[in-house]
Amino acid sequence: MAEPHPVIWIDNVSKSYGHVQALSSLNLSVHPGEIFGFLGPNGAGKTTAIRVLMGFLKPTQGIARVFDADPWLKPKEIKARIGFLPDASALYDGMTGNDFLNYLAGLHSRPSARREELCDRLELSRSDLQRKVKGYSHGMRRKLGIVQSMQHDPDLLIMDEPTQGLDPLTQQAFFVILREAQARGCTIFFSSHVLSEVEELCQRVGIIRQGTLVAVEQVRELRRRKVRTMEGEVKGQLPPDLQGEGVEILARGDRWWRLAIKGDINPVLRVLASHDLEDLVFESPHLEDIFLDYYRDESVAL
Amino acid sequence: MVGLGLLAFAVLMPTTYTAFGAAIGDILDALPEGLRALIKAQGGFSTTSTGYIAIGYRHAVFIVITMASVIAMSSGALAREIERGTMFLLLARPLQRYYIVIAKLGALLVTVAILLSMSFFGTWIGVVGNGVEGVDFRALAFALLNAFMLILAVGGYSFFISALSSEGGRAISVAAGLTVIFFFVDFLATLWGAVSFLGPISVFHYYDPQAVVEASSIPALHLGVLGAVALVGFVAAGIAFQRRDLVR
Repeated sequence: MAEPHPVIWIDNVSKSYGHVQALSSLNLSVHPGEIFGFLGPNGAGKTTAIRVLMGFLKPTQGIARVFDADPWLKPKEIKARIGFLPDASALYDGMTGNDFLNYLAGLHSRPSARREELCDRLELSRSDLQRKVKGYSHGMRRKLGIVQSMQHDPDLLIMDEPTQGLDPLTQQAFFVILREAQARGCTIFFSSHVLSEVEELCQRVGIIRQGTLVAVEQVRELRRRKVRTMEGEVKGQLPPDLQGEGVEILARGDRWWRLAIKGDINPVLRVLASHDLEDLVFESPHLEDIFLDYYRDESVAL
Repeated sequence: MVGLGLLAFAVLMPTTYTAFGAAIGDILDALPEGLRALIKAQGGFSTTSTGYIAIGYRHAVFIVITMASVIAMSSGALAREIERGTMFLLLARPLQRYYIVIAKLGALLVTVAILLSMSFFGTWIGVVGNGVEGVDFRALAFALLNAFMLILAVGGYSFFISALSSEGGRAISVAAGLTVIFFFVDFLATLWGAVSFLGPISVFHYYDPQAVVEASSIPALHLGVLGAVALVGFVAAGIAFQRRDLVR
């Protein structure tokens, strides 16, 4: 069976501003109904890539296609099917939340069928929506931004750092909303610099750094490469058999140690289970560690 | 608020005409040459009520209010939306970029028309309220049409500057600076014969309400030049905005 046409297709796209190379030979495709995470630190080129997809920037080189059309040349046709959330919560501060949503809905060809449901689920009350946007907190601004991007039930959602400013509960509600949108057939492309949220939500992840796509991976591959740092202390003697595949001892004392574990943590936990523990702490994995891991692989390959 | 300011100022002109009465000719003739050049009256004043009221349309208060309004609206129209990031929300809708330019232009035209209508209305209030006689409202309407086209011309190049810029403040500064330069080029060309050849490069050269009311006819050539400047500015703005990268 032939593979469906990708919703997003980026072929060898570069973008430079004068001497600054914001994107370098980017290749990427996102398939229908997929949640694709675009992961990278701040300033990596995520926003530039998104602006190319939205037709806000013309690539210096290469081709970008959204729904088989060039976003620079055919923005109107494409955007009728897109919902977009920009990186910053740029809103019209002088408007009320309702006026803001009505104004943007009035510029769209699709009805705002999902507005009420989204406001309810993101806990934007009627009284909130009657207030002027300038009085909103950062989180409320982000929620309003999410509602405007999804109120017309788009076929493709492009979101730039959508969880910025959302509290953990709202973030979970938002993830459920995205999964439901995916179940309805919506394709979702979102950028983030937070590894855990990409891991939780996406099937595939593109990793970008300094304008270059380092890798496109299935999330399970990302997990395999993930390096966790673990610190522990035992009551008695330090276990002698902590070393193994993917385990690196970063530091150790008489009764404590600090390990870097890449991949499966269970072998180490099984060793520790037979010892009397005083303390055990796992640090959240850092995005930078994963980049270093990829770069290490690249240098080996070279 | 701006409209009310213009209305109040327009009421003042017929009121002061009544207050000065027959002495008006002597007062105006006693003005230094520089001040005369500012209101384009170097060749003498029309001391009729209509001519006196038309001075108000070239007065610094009128010029500053209208120019500041049009520059703020035009220069900020596109650049400020990019600076704030709201342009990305607008252009995420199924719209062509030129639609945004046309919408902003429409808003500008309506605003300018309202401002000048307020000015005309203020003049009418002042004339009727003070019982000023012999006012030719038709000639004053022609003078305001001249003002309308001047404002559009300034709006045209301000729009173009805005279409190229990503910062509202910078666009406003450049457009305001250019307008001040145009004003002083016209002022110097009027005042100083040696540089009078520079006059035609300024949009203010084509704005002379005193001459318009004196002739009591539409200054077709001047309106044509100002209209052409406006048109070129707006079209260039549309093309530039359509082709540019949107970067904050």
